[in-house]
Amino acid sequence: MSVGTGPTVADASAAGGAAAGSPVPALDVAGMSAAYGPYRALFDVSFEVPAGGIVALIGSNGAGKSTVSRVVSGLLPASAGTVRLDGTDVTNRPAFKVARAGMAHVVEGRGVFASLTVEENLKLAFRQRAGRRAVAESLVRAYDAFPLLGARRGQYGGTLSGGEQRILSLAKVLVVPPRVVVADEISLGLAPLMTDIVYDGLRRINEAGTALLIVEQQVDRVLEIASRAVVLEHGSVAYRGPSSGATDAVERLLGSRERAEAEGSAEERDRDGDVPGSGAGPHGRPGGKGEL
Amino acid sequence: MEHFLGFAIPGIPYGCTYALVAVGLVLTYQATGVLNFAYGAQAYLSAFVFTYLVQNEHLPVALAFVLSVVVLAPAVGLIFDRLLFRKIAAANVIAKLVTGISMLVGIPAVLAILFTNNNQYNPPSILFNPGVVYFRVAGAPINGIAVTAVVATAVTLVALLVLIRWTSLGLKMRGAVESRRLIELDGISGGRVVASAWAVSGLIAGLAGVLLAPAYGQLQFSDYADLMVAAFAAAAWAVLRSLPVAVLVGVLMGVTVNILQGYLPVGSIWSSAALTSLPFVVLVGALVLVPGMRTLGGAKDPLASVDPPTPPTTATLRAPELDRVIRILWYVLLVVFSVSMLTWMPKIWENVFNAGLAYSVVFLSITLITGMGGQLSLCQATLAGVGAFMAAQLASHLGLNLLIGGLVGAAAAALVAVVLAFASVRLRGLGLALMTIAAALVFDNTVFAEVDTVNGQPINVTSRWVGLGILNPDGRAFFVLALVVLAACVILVLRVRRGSIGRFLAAMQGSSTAASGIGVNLTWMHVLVFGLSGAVAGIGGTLLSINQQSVNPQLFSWSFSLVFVVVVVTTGVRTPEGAIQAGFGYVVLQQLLTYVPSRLGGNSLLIVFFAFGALTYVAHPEGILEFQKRRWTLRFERLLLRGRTTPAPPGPDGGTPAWASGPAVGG
Amino acid sequence: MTGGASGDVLLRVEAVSKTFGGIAAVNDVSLVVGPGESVGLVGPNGAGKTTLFNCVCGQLRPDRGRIELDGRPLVDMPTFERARLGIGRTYQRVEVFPDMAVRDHLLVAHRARWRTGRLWRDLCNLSKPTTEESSKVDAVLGMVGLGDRADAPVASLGLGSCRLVELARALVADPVVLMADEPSSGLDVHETRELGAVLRQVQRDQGMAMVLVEHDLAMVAEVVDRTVVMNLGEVIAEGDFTSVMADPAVRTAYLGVRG
Repeated sequence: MSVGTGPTVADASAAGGAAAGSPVPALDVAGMSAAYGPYRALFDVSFEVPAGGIVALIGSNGAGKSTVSRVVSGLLPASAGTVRLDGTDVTNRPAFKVARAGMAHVVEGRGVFASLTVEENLKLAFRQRAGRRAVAESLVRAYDAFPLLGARRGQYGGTLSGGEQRILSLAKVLVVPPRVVVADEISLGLAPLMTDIVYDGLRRINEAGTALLIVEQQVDRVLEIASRAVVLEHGSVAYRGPSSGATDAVERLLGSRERAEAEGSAEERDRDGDVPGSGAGPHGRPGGKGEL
Repeated sequence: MEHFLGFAIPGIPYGCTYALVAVGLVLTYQATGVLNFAYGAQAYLSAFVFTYLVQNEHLPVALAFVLSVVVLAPAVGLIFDRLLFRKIAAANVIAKLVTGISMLVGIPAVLAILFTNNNQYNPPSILFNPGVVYFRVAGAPINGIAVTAVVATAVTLVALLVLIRWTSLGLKMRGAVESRRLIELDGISGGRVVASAWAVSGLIAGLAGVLLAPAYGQLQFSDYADLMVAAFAAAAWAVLRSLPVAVLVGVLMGVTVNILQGYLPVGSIWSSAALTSLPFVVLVGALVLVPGMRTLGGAKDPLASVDPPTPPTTATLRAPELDRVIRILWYVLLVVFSVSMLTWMPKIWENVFNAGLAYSVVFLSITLITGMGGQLSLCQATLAGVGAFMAAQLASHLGLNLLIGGLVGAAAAALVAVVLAFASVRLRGLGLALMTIAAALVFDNTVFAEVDTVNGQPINVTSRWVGLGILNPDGRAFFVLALVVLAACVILVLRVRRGSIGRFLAAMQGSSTAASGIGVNLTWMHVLVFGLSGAVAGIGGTLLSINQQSVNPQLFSWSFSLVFVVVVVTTGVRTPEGAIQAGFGYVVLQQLLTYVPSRLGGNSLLIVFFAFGALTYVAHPEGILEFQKRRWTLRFERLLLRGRTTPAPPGPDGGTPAWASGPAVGG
Repeated sequence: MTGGASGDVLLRVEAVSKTFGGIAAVNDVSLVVGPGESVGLVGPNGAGKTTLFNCVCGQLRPDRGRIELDGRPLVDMPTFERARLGIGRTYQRVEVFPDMAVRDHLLVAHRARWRTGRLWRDLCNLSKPTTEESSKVDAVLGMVGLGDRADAPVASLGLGSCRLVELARALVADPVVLMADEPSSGLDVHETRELGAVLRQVQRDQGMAMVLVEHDLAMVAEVVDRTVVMNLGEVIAEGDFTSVMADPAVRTAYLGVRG
């Protein structure tokens, strides 16, 4: 639930600076706080994405995951804290400069230009990231990697399905690999088959050396691909550590610790005839804290 | 058929003049998010400089063209972007409008000052000789101007389409138009793209200005301004989106006007007056009928939610102690002023202050509609004129005393305002401003031009109309009348402001969503405040006519509406105080400028002063004058009452005020 | 109190659908709220909660279905009339009137609701706050805990206080149902808890119904009697908080398939 009553933050080695001799993290967020005007969204968030690594950023909606990705990519200023990309401080730099420094943010929802065709979307990105001369070659490579884009190159971005739009966004970053890709709820609203293709694309991008920060609300897929996870709750970090521990943390946030515990000791309970979960308070608040 | 074509065909080049300007407006709006009211001034600027360089400095035409169109025009566009519009939040529609209008009004005034010899005749043509008839189509002669207009429009349209569809810059512009944030994520600087768009738009404005100049025997700013507003009509029908549609509508307007002109009886009311106002009627039509107009000026960027909520465009409230001090000062001033006017005031200044009283009433109407209603109305001078004209009609035809007629006139003006309010009930901000400007121009070209004037000459107000010795030059009766009327209007405004209606209006301005959510009927409020504003404007108009002793249509033209707005915004649009300061400031400064050698520009200097004053609206929506007053009064108070702490704005909450000044908390 | 089963229905939403550009944001949703009952409306992103909410409050018009308050159909009624019927609302992005003092917010709401604000009264200088209005305003301010800040201009208050002002503004009109849209948005955990406590207290004391759209599940658990979970435009679970959160369909909606 809230940080005060919730689980402790595990795995100290995830916090702060890397140990001596280890490479500079691709993305290093320290003490980040952010707000939309008076609407505070993040409170002292810290985590790292190791070079070439994959980190999952999860939590329910409203927890601040998208805010993290926006501050990291420069769309939103941070009111406190720092963001380092490959060791370089990019905090509060204009978004286009952060992008040029090696950041690629695949935004939530429709992350493509609806009024431009698939090819124009790609050209816009390639011209900037790869340079004018490399545009043609980059287009070829993009269509090779994702044939379904090639089939739709003259179609307007707005007419693509949700999955196709995500693939278009991925094509941009596969062909010209940045240092870090922040993928914001990339599987939202996608059918399982499309989600497979998208995650496969992410995997390929990671194999090319790019670090990934994958922001998701649904945890199943991302925890398969990510080695580490950060769980956000109401703007603060509720868990930071290996993916294996993340599921528990998230379960707790949904107020089902009793159920998890109850299931774990179902045999004993059944023998005693108790109703599982009876240890919870009147509204089922986890941690069993007293009355309001 | 030949006959029909004989009218229709020459309409095409005429329509192209609209189209050429409309295309530039659409491009600017699309690429920058600003409906650029200053466009006409940019066109005029280039045309003026071009003509000046050729005629006064004797530069070769080609060189003058390059300097005025290729160098100056884009530079002006870039200046607009960097110094003015970039500072304004996307959602702050009124600030964008006020800034555009300041430039529209200010630039020609600056030119008038810098180049005292500002009457340029017969501007040179760079393409086709205006006087020569190049060929005939269906018997209609097509001269140089016509060819220029058509060629220029065609070339510009094609060039822009190529730019937008085929070039890399065009691609970036299209992306930036859809979402400036998304394009930044691709590593492209949104700011740079917008700057380029302003440069291109400026170039087209300059080009249009220079190419169209030879059509006007005398180079006057008003022609460009009229043309620009008419072009708004074409742009509006294109929903400010489609270049080809803008061109098409522009051409159609020209053709229609020409055809109607050909077929309607010559000399009837319709043929001249109604036709010159046709484009503005088309504009009104677009605003009412085209669905896209309702969301004009609204943010379309899907990533716009990243922006923090706009801090309220209202200023800090005055501390109550300050209020008390200022009120006392006003009462003292009132007494001193009245006594002086009744006794020792020299004649010249007596006239000036009397005019000031009349103008103050008109400006009070702006306090009502803009300060309290939160809407920018660009037809307040028109409403004043409606009042004045109605009263004059009643006096001259029915012998009704002008003072009573004035009240009827006020009702008439209120009625006009109410009709406008209903027509614009779904429009806000930009759409409403356009509607009012269109209404102003329609009136200018019809009612004010035709009714009981001889060739637009003013109607004289005779003492027979007014009675009560008010027009007696040696008496003080007018002063008493004006003071009483102003006082009554001030009391009306104050009572409304402090009463329920004022609170409902303040709620609407603060958040129209929440206002309707608590049960405020927004439509009714909208109509009510417009009606009140119209009534007050009407009274002011009549008063002004009595003061000037004539009902002069010039005085109520749409350009004065713009000037009035710019003046009141500078002095303070939210309070009756600001209106009075505006009224007196306007006339006193005019008088003072007569003492200055006319070399320095007289009236134009006045306009420049207020126009640039209005630019501060973005930072100080309460009025730069009001801001300075508070600053100095606070300092003064602190000096007088040393040791006593002044009330600090951050409230008892302790935490950061929800809307701390500046964008986001960390920004 | 679980409403919906029998007799007493205050707010009825029946088979409401709303489509945007081919996508059904709300698909055949039905919901009932009894008098004095508080209902939490939760669900992942894109569930349709806000769309449904806006249909009830009047910002959106449903494509199909009925919405009734106390038997009166709402769908054709403009927002301001719904307010006068007794629907109070707070907003995700706080919509206060920055120029006005806290007290004035409530006064305006009072006058708008009971239509006591008239132009002729203004002109005759009869529009000063009456004793009845003042005492009502003071009472409500006391209820939410803003008594000490009654005269402060709202622009000087922090977000938490602004949310209280919005709540007070809704309360002064004696609403029969309060529609609260993500009131915890932008608040830290501490403020959220406080606001939740105030909401619960006020709702119980006034006996008004409440529909609360929220992401913060802790707040929902503490404040509401009944929870409704939406996903992809449909209601997938309904009941008391614990059992709803334990429902496999709900967990799948939030977490994805259990791995």
